[in-house]
Amino acid sequence: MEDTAGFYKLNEINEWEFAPNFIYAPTYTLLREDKDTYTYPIEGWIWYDTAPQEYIDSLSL
Amino acid sequence: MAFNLPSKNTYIQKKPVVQPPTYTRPLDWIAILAPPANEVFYLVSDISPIYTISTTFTRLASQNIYIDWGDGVIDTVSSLSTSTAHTYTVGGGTACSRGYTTWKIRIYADPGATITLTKFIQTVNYTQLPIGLLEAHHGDGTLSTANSLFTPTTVLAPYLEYFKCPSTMSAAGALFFESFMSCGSLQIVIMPTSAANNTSFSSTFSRCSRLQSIVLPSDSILVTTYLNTFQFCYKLQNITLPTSMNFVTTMAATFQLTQIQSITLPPLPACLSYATTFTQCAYLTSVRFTSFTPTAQSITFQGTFNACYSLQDMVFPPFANNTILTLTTTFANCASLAYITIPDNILVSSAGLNTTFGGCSKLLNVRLPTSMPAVPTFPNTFQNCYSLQSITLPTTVSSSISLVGTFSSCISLSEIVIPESYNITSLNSTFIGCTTAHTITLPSGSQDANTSLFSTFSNCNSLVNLTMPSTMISCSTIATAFNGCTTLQSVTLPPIMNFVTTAQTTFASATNLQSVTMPVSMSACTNFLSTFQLCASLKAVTMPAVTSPLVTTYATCFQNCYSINSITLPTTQTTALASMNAMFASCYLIKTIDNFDKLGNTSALVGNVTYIDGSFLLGFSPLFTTSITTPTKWSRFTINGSSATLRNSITSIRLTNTGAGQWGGASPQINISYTNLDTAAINLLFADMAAMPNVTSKTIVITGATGAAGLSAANRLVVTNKGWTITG
Repeated sequence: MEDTAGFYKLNEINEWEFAPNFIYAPTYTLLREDKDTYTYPIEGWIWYDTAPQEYIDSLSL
Repeated sequence: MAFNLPSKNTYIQKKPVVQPPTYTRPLDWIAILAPPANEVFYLVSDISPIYTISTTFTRLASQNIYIDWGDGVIDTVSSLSTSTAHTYTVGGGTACSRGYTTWKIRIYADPGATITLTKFIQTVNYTQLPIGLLEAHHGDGTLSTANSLFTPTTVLAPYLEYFKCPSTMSAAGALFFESFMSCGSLQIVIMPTSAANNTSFSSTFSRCSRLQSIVLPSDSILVTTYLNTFQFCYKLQNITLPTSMNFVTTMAATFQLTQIQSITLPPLPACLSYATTFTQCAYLTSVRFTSFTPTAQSITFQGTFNACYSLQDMVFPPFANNTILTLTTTFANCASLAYITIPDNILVSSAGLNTTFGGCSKLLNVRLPTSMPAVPTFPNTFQNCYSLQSITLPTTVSSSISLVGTFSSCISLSEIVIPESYNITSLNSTFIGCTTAHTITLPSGSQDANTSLFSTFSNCNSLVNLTMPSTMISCSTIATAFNGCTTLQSVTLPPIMNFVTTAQTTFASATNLQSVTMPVSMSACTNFLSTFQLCASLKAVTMPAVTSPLVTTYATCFQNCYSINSITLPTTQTTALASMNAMFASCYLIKTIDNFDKLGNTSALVGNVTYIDGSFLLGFSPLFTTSITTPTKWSRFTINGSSATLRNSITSIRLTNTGAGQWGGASPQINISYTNLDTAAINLLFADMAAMPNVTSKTIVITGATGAAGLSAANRLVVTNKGWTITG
């Protein structure tokens, strides 16, 4: 089964961004291995163990 | 729950059954017998209580005439020509079941006085309430002329149901010009049995929408015009014409929108206009002309039978040699007509064959004259002739000829030959939708007067090969020229097409196209939107070496070219390019793209330069083991694979323009996920990004890129220090 876990974010034009492993931003870092240590959302990013339905729906549009 | 489904045939117009006109006079209207000579009876109502009657009479001495208004008031009229007004008390007449009351007006004369004309007039202006006249009965002698009795600009009589003329109207000149125009309730008109000196039936019954039958005076043989005579008489089925029509010069719109079903016209030796004569006679099945003018004249048949959906039988009698016919829209939308012959001895006017047979969906065969030397245009001539199986165009036309839409949607034409002698000025939509045309033959030499290939062959789904004219230097558009030509395999365009400004969707959805030779030079072309989109069989394309430097879009230009492996882009450096959105999307077998660096403005200056939207530029491309360097400015740049297994094999991407203002597109602004960029290649790209001005809230996605895992914290800081976010 495909691993769809990762950080998800809905951007400014309502498109989904997906980062399975990491986000290195100028002011913060999110790592998959530390996913349970964060308080979400962080700059719009939220961890999902499986892809959210809205994301899946957006792929089929 | 039960549903009543509509019958399958409910959309078919049923022909009306021809019956004698039925007129049921309300029983509770005041009885009116036929008036004696020199008297007039009117039945009026209090729908409108104010009436003004104009009277004219002659007398031997001092006799008068009288108007008995029917309510106890009798006016004596002593002036030979005057008008008399009267106001009724609303509700004061004889009640009737229609909710109003009525009065009978009687106009009569002293012995020795002769009434020559009575009619209603409006004393204020025609915008006042229409009069409530219900019936008019003229005794002999009392109506010297019926000109303009009831018209929107004289007096409106929308409730008038019955009108009887005197038995004889002997005055000379136009007697029935616009007589009953717009009498929407008029059901019966008893015309005189004799009106031998009448010269006009112009608009006589126009818009009498309830009139079913009419008998014109049989001796009205001096009439010169039947212009609009029965136009818009929606229920009119029976018409008895005079015995002779030798002086008629126009039959324009005579029967337009009536319910006549067949007609035989007497000889019309002076008539030069049949414009819209039968337009929209939806039930007309047969028209017989006896003969036309015996000398060569210009006769117009513009729109004569337009929208005669039931017309099946129409044969032109002989014309005098060299008679000039105007045939624009003549048979348009004659959806039941199967055969038409245009006599060979006539000349078609310079108006050409504009939509002449357009919409003749059952037309099987048309015979045209072989020579039409005055005709410069065949616009939409056979448009939507769904059944037409063959056509031979005249070999001689004007010095140039426009073929705009000529054969559009002729879905049964399998072969179309444009004569070699034609000097074509436009091929705009000429063959669009000719879905069974497997052979289209164009003149082989130069066609340098042709200005358009817009949609010329669009959706010609049976066309396999096509030989284009050798040169077309004046052509300004090839947009959608071959769009949807799903069987077309090969096309060669002329080498120089420097007036073409757009190639938008030119070959889009030509799914079987395997070979295309583009012009070498298209120096004015600025639009390549979707030019080759879904050319699924195309393996290689060489774009024109020369294009306009002001090309604005290549968006989806090669999208879904699933087989393509080689694209050579123009060598012209573009300066105004704004969109490459999905330019190469789904080009799964692409190996090489030459001249990528010629796309976009190389200036680093901010301001009057564009930033290219490169969203979804190139996706899964396992054979694209190459590198790209682009010196232009981007708002978004996306070259990425889809997943770990559906990779894009590109090995290097260099974004060398250091200008400010880039990356105004949505996040992620740069996407190189699932590419084969190794760590060193990503670091080179990071260095390019670091050479640009700082950004805020911009993202680069490197998910699954070969070198993503090898980046060190120091490597990442190169771009995060410039404001970028890296995701992966």
